[in-house]
Amino acid sequence: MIIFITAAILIPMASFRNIIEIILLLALPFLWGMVVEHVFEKYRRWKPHAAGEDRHDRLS
Amino acid sequence: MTGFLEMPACIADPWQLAALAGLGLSVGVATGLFGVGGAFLITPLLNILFHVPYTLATGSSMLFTIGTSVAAWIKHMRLGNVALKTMTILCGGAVCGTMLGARLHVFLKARAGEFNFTLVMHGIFIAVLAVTAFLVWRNRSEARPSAPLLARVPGRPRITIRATGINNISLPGLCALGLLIGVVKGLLGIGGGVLFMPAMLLVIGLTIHQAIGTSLGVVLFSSIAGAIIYGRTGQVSLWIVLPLLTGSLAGVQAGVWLSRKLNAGSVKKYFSILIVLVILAIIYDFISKFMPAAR
Repeated sequence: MIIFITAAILIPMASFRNIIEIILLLALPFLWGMVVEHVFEKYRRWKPHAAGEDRHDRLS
Repeated sequence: MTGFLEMPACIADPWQLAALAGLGLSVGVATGLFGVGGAFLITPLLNILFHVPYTLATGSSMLFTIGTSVAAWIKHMRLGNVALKTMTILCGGAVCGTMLGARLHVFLKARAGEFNFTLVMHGIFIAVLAVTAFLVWRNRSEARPSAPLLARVPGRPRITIRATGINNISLPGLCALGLLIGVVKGLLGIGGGVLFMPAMLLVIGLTIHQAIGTSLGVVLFSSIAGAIIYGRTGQVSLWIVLPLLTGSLAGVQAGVWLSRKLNAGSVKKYFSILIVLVILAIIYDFISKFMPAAR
């Protein structure tokens, strides 16, 4: 809800360039999350036992 | 606007520099013990005790947070208390949220004026801290929730957080959590640890020590973004940050040592008490600022 309120306050007062920036800032965390999950899962499959169980758990 | 290397008029007295170092020492203990960056203490206390303007206090406390949290985060990383994947995902949301929150801060300040803005900020601060203290106090037993909130939130893809042994966590929910806390962090100029730590305990389901180590990492990286944003507009002063950091270096070591001595229930109890003390200090300042204006 706070995210929508932030967008509702910031977008009307912003110029066109700023609106794109704000929309990007709202969308980027979700893309970032997907990328991080993909990279960590790839690493786990690539080196499942190399780091040992404790270290492996810590990577999550 | 104050230059980065310029001494602000409000702390020109050498005794005030020593007092700043003392404040840094006590905040450093809280940083190591509770996994908070300390900005939620520093920002209002700089404003209340040293009469530093709110925006300058906000920017300086962001820079201070980097210094304190980096030492404590490395220490917790060595102890194996950091859940790296969770930290990295939350960092993305927190950095973007901080940038949005900082814009909102500038916008509200320009519209409301310094006095009204300070009162509004204190009001939001008290509300956020009161909710946090209540949630941590209510859940101070050592047992972790069997199904954390994020496991019940809809949204695909679902991920596994191996540090907690919990499957089926909503990835969009985790990203939204980082973004949401980032917005509040940027708006109030706090490090965010005071919000991330309870969120990791109650919403994600990490253990208390994992929550402390992981929240320090998120606080560190999002504070770098915050300090750059405030620094670009000249709202960071090295004269405020250096004495605070000097004092906090010793405090952090003592705090980390204490966190290993205390059990999870005690850490949560003391964390709630600390938040209540900060709320009382803010209310006192709130009243002292509001009463003369009302007369």
